[in-house]
Amino acid sequence: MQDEAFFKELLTIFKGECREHVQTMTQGLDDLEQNMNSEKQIEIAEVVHRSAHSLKGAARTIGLVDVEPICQSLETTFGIFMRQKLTIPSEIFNKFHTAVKLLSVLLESINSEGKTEGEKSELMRIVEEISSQMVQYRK
Amino acid sequence: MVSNEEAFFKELLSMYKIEAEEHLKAISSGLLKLEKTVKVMDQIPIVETIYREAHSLKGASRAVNLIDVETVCQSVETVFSALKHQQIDITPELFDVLHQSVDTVSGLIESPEKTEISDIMRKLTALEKTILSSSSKKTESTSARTGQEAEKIKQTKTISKQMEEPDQIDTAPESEPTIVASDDSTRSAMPKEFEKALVSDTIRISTSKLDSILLQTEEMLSTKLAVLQQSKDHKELLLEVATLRKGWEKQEVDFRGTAKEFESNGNETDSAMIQSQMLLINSLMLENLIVFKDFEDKLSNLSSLTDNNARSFGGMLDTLLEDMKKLLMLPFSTLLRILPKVVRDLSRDQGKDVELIVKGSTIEIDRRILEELKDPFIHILRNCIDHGIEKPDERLKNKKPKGGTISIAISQLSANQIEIIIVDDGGGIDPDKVREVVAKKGIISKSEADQLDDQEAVMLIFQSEVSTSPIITDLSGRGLGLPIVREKVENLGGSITIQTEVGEGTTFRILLPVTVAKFRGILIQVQDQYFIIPTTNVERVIRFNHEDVQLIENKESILMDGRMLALTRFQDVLELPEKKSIHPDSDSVRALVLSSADKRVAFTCDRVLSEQEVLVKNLGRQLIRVRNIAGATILGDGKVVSILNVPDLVKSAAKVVSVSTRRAKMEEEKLEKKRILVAEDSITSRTLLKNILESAGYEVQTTVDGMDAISALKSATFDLVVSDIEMPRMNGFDLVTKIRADRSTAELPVVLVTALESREDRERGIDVGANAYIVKRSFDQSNLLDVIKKLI
Repeated sequence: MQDEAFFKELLTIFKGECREHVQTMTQGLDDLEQNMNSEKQIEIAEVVHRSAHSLKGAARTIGLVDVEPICQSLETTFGIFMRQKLTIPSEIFNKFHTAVKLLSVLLESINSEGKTEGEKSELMRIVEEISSQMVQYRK
Repeated sequence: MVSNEEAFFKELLSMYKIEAEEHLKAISSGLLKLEKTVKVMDQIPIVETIYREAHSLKGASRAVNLIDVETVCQSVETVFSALKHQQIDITPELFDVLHQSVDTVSGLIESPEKTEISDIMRKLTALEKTILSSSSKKTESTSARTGQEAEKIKQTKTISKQMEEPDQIDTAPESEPTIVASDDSTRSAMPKEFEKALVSDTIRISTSKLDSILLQTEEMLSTKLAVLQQSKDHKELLLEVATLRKGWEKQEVDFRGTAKEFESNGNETDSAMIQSQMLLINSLMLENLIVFKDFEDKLSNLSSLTDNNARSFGGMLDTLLEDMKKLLMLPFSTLLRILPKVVRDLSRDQGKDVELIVKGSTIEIDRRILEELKDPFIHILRNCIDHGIEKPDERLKNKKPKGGTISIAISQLSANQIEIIIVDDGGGIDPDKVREVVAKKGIISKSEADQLDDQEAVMLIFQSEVSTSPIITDLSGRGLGLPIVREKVENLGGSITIQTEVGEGTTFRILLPVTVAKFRGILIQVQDQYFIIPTTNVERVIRFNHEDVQLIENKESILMDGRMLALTRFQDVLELPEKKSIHPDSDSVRALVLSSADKRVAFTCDRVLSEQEVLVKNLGRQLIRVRNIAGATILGDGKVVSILNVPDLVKSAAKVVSVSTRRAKMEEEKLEKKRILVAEDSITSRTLLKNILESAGYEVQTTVDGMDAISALKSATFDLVVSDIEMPRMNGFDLVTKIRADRSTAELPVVLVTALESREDRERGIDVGANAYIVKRSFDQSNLLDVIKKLI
C-alpha cells in the first residue's frame, strides 16, 4: 500500500527516533541509579517508561514484530520503578544498560526491508533475566 | 481542613449570589419606578429603598471579599444619600449612570474576570465630586434660601416622618398596574396578598432540593409501568392455566366415559387388570384436576391483588406527581420583573417611548415552564418595540399618544390552562407585506399566498426567515425570533396565535399548561428495533398503499390534505443497516407525520405499537449530544428504547437524498478536503499517519502531544482528531476530556489510536467520550480509514 520511497524515508525517521529513545533510556537509567528511593526516582521512571512504550509503538508501526516483545518487557519493568520507591542493586542496573546497548545495536542493524539482521538471543536472555529479578520488587 | 473551608466559602458565595440578585433586582425596579415618579414627595421613599438595598449589597459583598462590587456599591450609596438629602437633581443622565452601575455589578458577580469597572467608576466619581461641591454650595447659600427650597425642606420633613413606619414602602397602591409596584416581590416569591397571612408557614428551600425530589417522584413512573405490565402478565398466565384446566377436565370426563364403556362390553379375561389400572389413572386425573383448580384459584387471587396494587399505586403516584409539580410553581412576577428594564433599554435604543403594563403577575405556573418562557417574552417584546411601536413623531401624526403601550395580561383559564395576552398599540402587521415576503422567499407560491385570508397570512410570520422589516438590525429583522417563540411554546405543550389590525396594534395570545405535561410517546418498530416518538410532535399516523407514493423531484412524496408531503424512511435517517421489513408483502405503508417548528415530514415505519406514558432518561455524561436521539426510556417489560429527537429527525430528513443526488453530492464534497488533526509523540508513527491520511485525501496537521493539539484546535478548525494515548505533557484521555469540555469542540469526532489493546483503556476511552478506539496494526491502517470515513 505504501510505495518504497516512502518506506525508506519512514525507516530513516524510525532510526532517528530509536536513537533518541535509546539516549533517553540510557540517560534515564543513570539518573535512576543515582536517585533510587526518592520522589525523583518515580519522575525519572515515568520518562523512561514512556520512552520504551513509544519505541514499542514505533517498532510496531514499521512492522518490526520481533522488537516489540523486548520493548514490552522493558516497559513493564520500568513500570515497576514508577509505582513505588525502590532500592535496586547496581548489578541489575548493569543488566539494564547492557540490554539497552544490545537493543540499540539490534535496531541499527535494520536493513532496507525493515528487518533486523543482528543477533537477538543474548538480548532476549538478558531482558528475561531482568524481568525475573525485578518481579520480587513488584508490589 | 482547607477543602472544608473552601467548600464553606463556595456555599457562602452561592448564597451571596442569590442575595445579590435580589438586591440588584430591587435596585433596578426601584430606579425604573423613580424615573416614572414625578412628585418629589413620592420619590423620597423609593430613594430610601434603593439606598438601603445598595447598602446591604455593599455589606454582603464585603463579607465575601468582592472588593470591586463593594466599591461600586459604596459610590451608588453616596449618590443616593445625596439624592435623599436633595443635594443633586434627578436627571436622565443620572439614571443612565445608575442603570449602568447595576449592570456592572451584576457582571462582576456573574463573571468577574470579564467585567471592567474603571468606566463606571469614572462616571460615579465624577458624580460624587458634583455632590461634594453642591453640598458645600448649599451650606454657603443657606441664608439665601428661596421660598421654593423652603417648601422642599418642609416636604422632606413630612416624608421622613412617614419613613419611620417601615410598612410605607410596601403599601404602594395595589391598583398601580405595573409590576415594579410590587417591590416586595423581590423579597419573597410569595404574591403580595398572601404574604402576610402565610409568613409563619413559609419556609425557604433551595429549588435544587425540590427538583431532586421531583426527579425521584418521576422515577417512580417506571415502577408504575412495571407494575402495570406485571398485572397484565398475571392475567395472561391465569388465562393459560384456565385453558389448561378446562382441557384437563374434558380429558377426565372423556376418560371416565371410555372406562365405563370398556367395563360394559369388555371381555372377562383381561378386563380385571386393565379395569383396576383405569381406575387408578382416573383417580390420579381427578387428583391433578383438584391441584389445578387450587393453582388457578391462587393465581386468580394474586392477579386481582396485583391489579389492585397497580391501580392504587398508579393513582397515588399520579396525585403525588401533581402535588410535587405544584410545589414547584412560581408566580409570573419572578420572570416578569426583569421585563421593565428590558423594555426600557430597548425603547431607549430605538428612540421610542414605551410603557409596559403588567397584569396578573401573581398567577403561578410550573417553574420549568417559566424558565422556558423568558426567551419568548423577550423576543415578543423586541418585536413589539422594534416593529410594532412607531417613533414618537409618527405616532403624533397618526393621532396616537406620543408614547406607546405594551401590556401583558396573564390569566388562569382553567385548573390546567393559562392565557398570556401581549398587546401593543403600534402599527400592526400588514398581511399584504407578509404575503409579499413569503412569496419572495419561496416559502409558498405567490398564488398560494394570495389565497390565504388575512389571519392565515399573518400567522406566517411564525415561519422562519419571514420578516416584514426592510432591514436587519441588531435587535430583529432576521425573522428568527417569532419562530423560536412558537417552537418554545409548542414544546411546552402550548399554542400561540396572533391578531393584528393595521395602524391599531398587534395582539399575541399564548395558551400554556400550568404544569409540565406528562411525557407521552408513541412506540414504533423499525426493522428489529423499537423507538419512542414524543406524542406532541406527532401530527397524525397515516396508512396508505405503495401505489400512492409519488416521485417528486427525485424524492418520495405522498399527497395529504391536498398538499405534497416528503416521505422518508426512519432507517435512512437513523442510518440503520438495511434489514428485511417485518412484513414485506404488506400492501400498505405506515407512516407518522412529524412536525417541528414549521416543517412537516412523513416517516415510514414497520409497526405502530402503542401510545403510552414515558419516563425520559437522559443519555448520561458520556453522550453529551447524539444526533436524532433525545434520550432513552425503559418500557414496562424492561426493554430499553431510544426516544427520538423530532427537530433533529426533520432536519436530518432534509439531508437524506435520493441515490443519484447523493452521488453527485459526494463528488462535490471531495473538492473540499476534510481536515484532520493528529496528536502522536512518536515521529515514526506520526509520519506514517500523516502519509496514510494524506493519501486518502485528507488535509493533515500533526502535533506532538495533547497540549500541542489543544493549541492547534484553538487556532484552526478540524473535522476530526486522531490521537495516541500515551504522550508526554497531556495524554490522549485528557485530550479527549478537554475537547469534550469545550463547547466549540464538544461534537468533534475523536479517534484514539493505541499500540496495545486493554479493556480498561478502551472503557476509559469511551468514558471520556472518544468516538472510536483503534489498535495500531503495523502497516495495515485500512481500519483507521474505515472508521474515519464513518465519522466524517
